[in-house]
Amino acid sequence: MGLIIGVVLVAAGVILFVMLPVLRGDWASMGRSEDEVTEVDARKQAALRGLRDAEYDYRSGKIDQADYEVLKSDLARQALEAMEEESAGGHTADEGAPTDGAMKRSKGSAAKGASFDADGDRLEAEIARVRKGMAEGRTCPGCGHLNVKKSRFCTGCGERLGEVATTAGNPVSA
Amino acid sequence: MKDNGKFFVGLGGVALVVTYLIWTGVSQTMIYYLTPVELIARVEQDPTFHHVGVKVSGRVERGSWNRAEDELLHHFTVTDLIDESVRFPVEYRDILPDTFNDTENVDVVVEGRFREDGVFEATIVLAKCGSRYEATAEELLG
Amino acid sequence: MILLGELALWIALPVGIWGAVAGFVGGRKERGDLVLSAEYSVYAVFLLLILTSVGIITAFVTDSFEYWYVANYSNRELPTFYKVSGLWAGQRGSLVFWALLLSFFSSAAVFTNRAKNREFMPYVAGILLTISSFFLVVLLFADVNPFERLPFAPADGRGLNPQLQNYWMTIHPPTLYLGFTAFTIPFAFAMSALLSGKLDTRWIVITRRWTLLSWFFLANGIIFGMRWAYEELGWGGFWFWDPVENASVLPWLTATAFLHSIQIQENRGMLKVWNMGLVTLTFLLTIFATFLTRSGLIESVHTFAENTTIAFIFLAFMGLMAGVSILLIAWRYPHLKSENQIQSFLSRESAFLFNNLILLGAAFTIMWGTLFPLITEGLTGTAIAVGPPFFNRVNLPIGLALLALMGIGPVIAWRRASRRNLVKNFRMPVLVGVMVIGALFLRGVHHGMALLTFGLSAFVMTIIIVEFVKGTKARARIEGEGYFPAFYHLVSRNRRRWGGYIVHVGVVMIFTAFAGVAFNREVLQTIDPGETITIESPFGHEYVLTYQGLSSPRGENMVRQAVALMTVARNGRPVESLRAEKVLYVKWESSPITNVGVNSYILEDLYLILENVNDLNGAFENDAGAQRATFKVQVNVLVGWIWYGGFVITLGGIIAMWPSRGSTTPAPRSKTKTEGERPALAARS
Repeated sequence: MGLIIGVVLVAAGVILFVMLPVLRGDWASMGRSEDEVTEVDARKQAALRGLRDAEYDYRSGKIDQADYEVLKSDLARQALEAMEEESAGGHTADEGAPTDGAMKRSKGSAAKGASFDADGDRLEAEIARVRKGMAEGRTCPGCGHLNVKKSRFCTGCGERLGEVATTAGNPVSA
Repeated sequence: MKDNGKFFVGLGGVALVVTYLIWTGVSQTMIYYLTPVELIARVEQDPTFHHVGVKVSGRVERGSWNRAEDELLHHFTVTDLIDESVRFPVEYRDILPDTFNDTENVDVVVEGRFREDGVFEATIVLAKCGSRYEATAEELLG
Repeated sequence: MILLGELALWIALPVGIWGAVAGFVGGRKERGDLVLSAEYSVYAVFLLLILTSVGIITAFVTDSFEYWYVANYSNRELPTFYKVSGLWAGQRGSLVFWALLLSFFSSAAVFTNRAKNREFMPYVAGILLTISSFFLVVLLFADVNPFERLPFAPADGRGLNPQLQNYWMTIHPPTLYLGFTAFTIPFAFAMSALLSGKLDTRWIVITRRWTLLSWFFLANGIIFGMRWAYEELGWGGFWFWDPVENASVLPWLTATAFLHSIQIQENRGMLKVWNMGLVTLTFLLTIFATFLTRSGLIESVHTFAENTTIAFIFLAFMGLMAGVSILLIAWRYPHLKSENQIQSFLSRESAFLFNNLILLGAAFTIMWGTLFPLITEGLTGTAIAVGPPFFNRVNLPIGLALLALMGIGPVIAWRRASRRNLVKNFRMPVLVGVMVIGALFLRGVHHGMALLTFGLSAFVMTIIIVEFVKGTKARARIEGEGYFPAFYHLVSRNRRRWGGYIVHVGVVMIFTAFAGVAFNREVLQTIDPGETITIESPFGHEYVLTYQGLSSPRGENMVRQAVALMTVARNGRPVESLRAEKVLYVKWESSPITNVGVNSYILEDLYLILENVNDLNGAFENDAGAQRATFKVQVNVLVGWIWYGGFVITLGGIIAMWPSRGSTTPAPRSKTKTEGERPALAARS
């Protein structure tokens, strides 16, 4: 007898637990949260990591200077575009059509070619800052201000600082 | 297109090598996997079959196991799983698996060659203890 | 308690089905309440399966032999240890165990993503619950219910197969199962990406660690299996190309390929369709592995009893999952186009691709060889089999190619490597490899393939060591650090890469150990107490074993045992003695079990097998005259390097998986149970 009551209780408990959200109208969050990696962000991080790895590869003698310069400018351009996209419109809507995205990128980069040198300095500074930021604290993607470790808001512009939240955490090896 | 081209060249190359390896591997190491009934039938049909490597699955006949004293030499008889009258003696000169015995229903797979003198010269013996099969309710309750 | 466990299974199935439906519908219709319900269902199924597992274990521990499953795998005198592991000892319990682990990982996946990656989670929950429900359906309706009862309880159970009565029983199956079930998570995310249309690299980034975890458990599980075979089967071998062994290696091979090819997608946006295919294939192979073990389709010493119902159900399930995955990939194909191209044959992309093709080639050949009897019987009526000679032959060149790639990979640059740089970077390692081959040759090693293996191993080791050195130096220079901090930061800033190199070192050690098999020695002798057996190893060590005699102590759950004692002298000096045994376990009196004695040294193992006692019954009775016995003594060269390599792989894997700063879950955001979430949802759409 006691067993039957126990089982009924367990069954009822489980069913109640599972149906609770529907009964009470609790909704799980289903959209993107502020903290998450966006596709643009992932691209930027990949480009910046690629830059860092390219530098190490060059210094350890795996690639020539000529190849390194080409690689650097290519990756720098990608990083730049991603950063511009990011600061321009917040999170870009990515409905899973990367082919369009890729085409947009390549078109955009053709236009940017002309202004690359002018942006070169800014890029170098940004890259150095971001690299340092990855090493120590948090670099604000909006204004570029270097913030103290674990800051949640940028002390330069007040923007919410996104966490570099790739779930695996490890920079992609190259 | 260009990217696909390089990729498929690589794929094709590896596929070719793998196919070659499998082809030669199989043709040089393959052995027939037969039941005792099939084995004896084959050998009767084609006496050259005595020289072919084969693998035979059957059952150890109860009470047929004999180990020579002081010598690593085992003798036992293998019967067909379906027709127990079909059987042949086996000779084996290596360590038998622990699951091997001749007191229960032990299924074996022997690999080697069926000699002209009617004895199977085994190079490999695998045994699956009959009692490894899950017992039915009757067997459990005795 | 046991009854509760049984009923928990019945409750779990409708909950699982509800959750799966709620997940898919909730995701499609953007109904957050259904999604939350689906996620709760994931937790609920896990809790219920815990109840079920506890119920089964309780049945074992309380000797409840009225349960068919307990009666078949336990007996009163069985040590408690093995009663607990009875959960996975047989077909039925192991299905519950699989479901338990799957639901555990599912819960972990849902929990760690409760505040992020939300666009994926509805479908992830749906897919995971679908798969869990499949296992529940099998358990409840395919005549494999572990709670099936006999008309009355027999006095005692049949006992556990003595070959399973060793501590590896508690380690090897669980580790393998952890590996198999963990891979369901990446698969679920991949399918979720296809369903939701979020086809960028995020699903890969999210599941990277899960893939690593699964790979890690699979590798260790396979190595544990080898160790078990080596220590327990008494032949000195560790791998037999048994169908079930082969089946466990297949998903490991494709998972290894996947671990490499996702890097190409992350870095260069290529191989998107390839990766979708690989993750699906790996998942299917995990199901195939368990299918092969359960169906009795191919004879193996590992299989559970044959069960054709299960065979068909699993086949149908695999077909369904394969079909759905292919459809989804085809549907999303336009969005899976590569963003870049391979620019040069001489590039890391190219090397990784070769790696993939070779690993898949190995998987294909192993699959082919394993299924060959079935295929030939189906096509010609006569079964034709291939055995270890086939597998060894075919996999040798593949293994050598993989070794070479492990050396080439780290050195070759992305996109386009310059030939000149490659030559410059290869010069020393190649030299080292050649010198090693030369030195070994002069010392008398003339086995061609082994020499090649050793040479390539030296080549790879040199390259990896140089990588660490160069990387440390470069970092020290750029960041202005000392060498020690530079090394530490180097590794911790890029754990995947450097952890990966350490894993490669472990793999190289294992391949080297395989080559050592060619040099094993053995001696077979029948002797009386006082006599000796002498054996010399290829390294020049001489072992003299002096037979002391047989004793017959009583052990737990044993009827009788005969223990042979040998004192050992190594190069004239006494070392640890060896014991080899024949044991008769309770309920299994017709099959004495052979236990070997092993002394392990760095370069070789001394391995003692008690092959036969002339008068075993006399020995069991401690009869002084019944001491004459036949022994096989082996020197197994380099076999220890398999286990050492396993440790290194474990170390590298842990480093690669170790979370770094920035990967911690964001400050806890409670799943807001208020209406507040809905506006957020509306704002986004």
